[in-house]
Amino acid sequence: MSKKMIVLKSSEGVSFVVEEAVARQSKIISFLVEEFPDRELPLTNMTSEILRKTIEYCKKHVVEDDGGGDSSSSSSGDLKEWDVKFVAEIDQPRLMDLLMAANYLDIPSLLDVTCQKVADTIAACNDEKEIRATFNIENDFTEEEVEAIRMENQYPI
Amino acid sequence: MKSQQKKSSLSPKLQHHSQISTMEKKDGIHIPFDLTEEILSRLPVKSLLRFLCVSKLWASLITNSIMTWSLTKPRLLVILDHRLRESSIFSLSSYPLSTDKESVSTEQDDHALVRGINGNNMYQYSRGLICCLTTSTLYNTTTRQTLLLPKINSEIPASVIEGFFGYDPVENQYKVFCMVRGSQTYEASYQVFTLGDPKKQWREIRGLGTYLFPTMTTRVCINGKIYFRARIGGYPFHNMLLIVDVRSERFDHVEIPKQPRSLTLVNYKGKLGCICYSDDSAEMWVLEDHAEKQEWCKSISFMSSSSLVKRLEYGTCIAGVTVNDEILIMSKILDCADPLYAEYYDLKQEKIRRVELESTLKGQQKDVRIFSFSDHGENAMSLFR
Repeated sequence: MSKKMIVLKSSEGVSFVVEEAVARQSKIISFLVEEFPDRELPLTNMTSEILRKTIEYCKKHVVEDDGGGDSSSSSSGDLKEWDVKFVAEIDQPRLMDLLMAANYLDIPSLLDVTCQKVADTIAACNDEKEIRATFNIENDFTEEEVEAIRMENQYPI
Repeated sequence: MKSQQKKSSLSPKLQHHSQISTMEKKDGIHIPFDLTEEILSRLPVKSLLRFLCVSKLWASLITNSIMTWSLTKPRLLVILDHRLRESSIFSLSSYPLSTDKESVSTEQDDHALVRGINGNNMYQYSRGLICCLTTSTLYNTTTRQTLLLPKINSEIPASVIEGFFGYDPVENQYKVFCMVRGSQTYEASYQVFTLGDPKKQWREIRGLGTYLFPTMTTRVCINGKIYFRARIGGYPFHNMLLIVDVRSERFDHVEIPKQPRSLTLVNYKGKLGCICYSDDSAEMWVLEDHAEKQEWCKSISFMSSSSLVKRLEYGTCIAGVTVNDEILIMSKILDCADPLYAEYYDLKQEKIRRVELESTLKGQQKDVRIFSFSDHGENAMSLFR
C-alpha cells in the first residue's frame, strides 16, 4: 500500500515531498491537510534549510502504526539520545530558527527540545551580562533599579 | 460553529508571515518575545534568581511566574526540627511527587538557621513560605531569606500566643494572624501582620470576640482561607472547624462532620478535605464552600483501610493528598536507626507505595520532629520588599 504524500514548499520555492504521517506532527499542517487536501502547502516564512531540519526531526519521531511495531519505531531512550545529539549539532542562530519553526508549525516535542537547549545555554551563563551579550538583550534597568533589586533579593549563600 | 472558531483562531497565526530566519540579520540572535516565558520556565529556580537583573521583562516573568511553574510539579517539603537544641535548624528536602523510584535524593538546606528556643516549635506553610510563631520568623524556602516578625504588643500578663498563617490570592498578600490569650484570665486579643506592609507592625482586629484553643494539628490554607480545629470558649468542650478569611480578616466557624478519634485537614483538589479515622474505618469529607454557607459532603470512604489506619497509629501522620489522589503518610519523629520514608496510599487502588528519602541526617540526630507539607511550590518573592 502506498503512503499518502504531501508537498511542502519553502520560502525559496523548493518543494519537499513528505509522507503525510510525518508532516502531521505539526498541528498546523495536520489541520491544513484536512481543510485543503491534495494541495501543496506554501510555508513562505521558512527557508529550505530550516524546513529540511524540521522534516528530519519529524521523520525520526513519526509513529509507525502500519508496520509491525518493532521494525522502525525507536525506543524512547534512543529517541531522547537522538534528540540531544540533534540539537547539540545545531549552531545558535539555526537553533533559534528551529525553535521559531517549531512554534509556528506547532510541533510540541520539537518546541520542547529546542526550548530546553536554549534554557541550558542560559543556565550555563555566569551572569546577566553574559546573557545579554549572547542573546542581544537590552539592559532597560537604571543603575538605581538594579541596586534596588539586589537589595531586595540578598540571599544567604 | 466549532470549526469556525478554530479557523478564526488559526488564521492570524497563518497570516503572520514574518521570516523565520535570524541568519541574515546583522544584530545576532534574539529570544523571541512570546517564547521567553516558555524557555525560562525550564530553568532551575536557583539559576532564575541569579538572572533577575537581565531585563525588566525577565524580572517580571521570573518573580511572577516561578510559583505557577513549580506548582505544575508540586514537591514535598520536610522540616526537621531539633527540639532540645538551643538553635533549631530546619532542613528542607524537596522532590517531585510523581516519582516511582524506590529511593529519591533530597536537597538539604543547612543554611536555614532559625533563632531557636527550647520548646515546641510549630511550623505553618503557605505557598512557598514557612511561618514559625514561636521563633517569630517567616522563612522563604526558595530564596532562603528570613524575616523576623515585629514584637507583638500585649498588655495581657502571662500570655499565650497562637498563630495562623495564610495567603490571599486576590490581594496577593501573606498575613499572620495571632491570638494573645491570658493563661489565667482567658481574655483575648487578636492581631494581624501583613507581609510587605510599610508600617511593619501588628494591627489589632476584632477576631472572634472570644478566646479559642486550637489543637496542635495542621492548619491548612486554601484559596484565601485558613482552616484549623479549635475549641471556642469554655464549657461545653466541643471542637469546631475555625475559618479565617485572610482578606477580610474575619473569623468564622462550622461544625466538624464527625467527632472521630483522629482527624486531619488536607487540601483535596483545592477544597478542604477532612479525613476522619478511628480503629477500623477512615473516610474523607469535603467542605463545599457556597457563597453564604458551607456544607460537608462525604466524598470517599476507605472500605478496607485497616492497613492505612494501622500505619497511622505509630508516630505517623497524614501530610496531605497528592494530585494523583494519594494520601501522603509521614513520620512525626525522625528515628535515627531507620531511614525516612514517605508512604503513599492510593485511594483508588487501596495500595501503599513507599519511597525512601535519602537524607544525610540519618543516624546523626536525636529528638528531631518532622513537619511535612505535600504541595510545596517555589516562590521568588522577596521578604524585604
